[in-house]
Amino acid sequence: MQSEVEKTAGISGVLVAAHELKAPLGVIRQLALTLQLAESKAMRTRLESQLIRTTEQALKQVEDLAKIPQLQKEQPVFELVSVRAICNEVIHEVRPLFCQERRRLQVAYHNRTKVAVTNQNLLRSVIYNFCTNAMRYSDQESESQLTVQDYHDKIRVSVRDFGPALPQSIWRKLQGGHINQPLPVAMRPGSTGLGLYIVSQFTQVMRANFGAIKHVDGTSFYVDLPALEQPGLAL
Amino acid sequence: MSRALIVEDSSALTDCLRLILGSCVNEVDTCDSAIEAIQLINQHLPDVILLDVLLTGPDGFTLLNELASYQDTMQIPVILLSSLDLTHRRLDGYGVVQIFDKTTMRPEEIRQTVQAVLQKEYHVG
Repeated sequence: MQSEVEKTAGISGVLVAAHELKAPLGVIRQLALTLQLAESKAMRTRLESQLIRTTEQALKQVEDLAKIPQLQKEQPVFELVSVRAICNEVIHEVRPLFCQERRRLQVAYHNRTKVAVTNQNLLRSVIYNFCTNAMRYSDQESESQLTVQDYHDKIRVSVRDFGPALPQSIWRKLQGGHINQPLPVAMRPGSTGLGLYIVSQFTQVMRANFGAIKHVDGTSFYVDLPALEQPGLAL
Repeated sequence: MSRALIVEDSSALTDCLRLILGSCVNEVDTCDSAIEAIQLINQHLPDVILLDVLLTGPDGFTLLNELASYQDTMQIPVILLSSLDLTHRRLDGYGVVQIFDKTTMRPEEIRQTVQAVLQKEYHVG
């Protein structure tokens, strides 16, 4: 039986998710309407690619949200994963988005001897969410940094942005290490924290630690993954 | 010679607005933050500003405040773009001539409003 609190949290979560998805749907509609006005082939192609990317991003978020109830019922498969290979896949995917938004993404791999023990699909989603979050909250022409490094007995994947500071209330929730529902406050302009909620849910299932580091000029979000020392395997 | 400034942090929407204004405005400047908007306004005063409310960093209301604080910018007509409900927001004295809901606005109504602003059919003050 669901408690009243759980029911209320569920409804509020749905409302927040709906609000977050309203923005890309509005953009998609506007792109479709404006496409008819594009006279040059170059402009038409540009709008079409914006349309595809915006749709793909929104779809990805919906897919991630839809995964959450399933993960609570069924444990995902864990395997030895090259974090670097997953990062490369995500970078390949997000690079056009960064270019489109005139942002840059810098990558640094400092991890040499460990492989992660995790679910690669969930890890891919977590890194994707970190990257798109950093892109959204960085200034134009600024650089976000994706870093992979050994961190004690774990592998830390972090993405640093140079965006506005997080409110104190969100820090307290992050320090608790778990977000139970999409945050019903705008943590940063235009955001309900849906991406963080998804990351929080995924990392819990992955038995990984999720957190954030506050900088004077931005924020780093990170995930610490269980890892094994495998000199022969690490990439 | 007419000049518009688009302040919008979605590059997709900026592309749309630039295309929509293309046939009725001579020069279109674009930027994605209030800070950059102030720099652009200092270089060239626009005849109309299309302003997104939720921006990264200082938001659209901060920019409105800034514009209202100076003699040479307080008369610039501003068209607000937002998916927030702004009906209860007091915007008198801020140069706002029209508010468009980003989820329902249509290219032709944006263009018509900009044309009306440029033909001085809207009075700011």
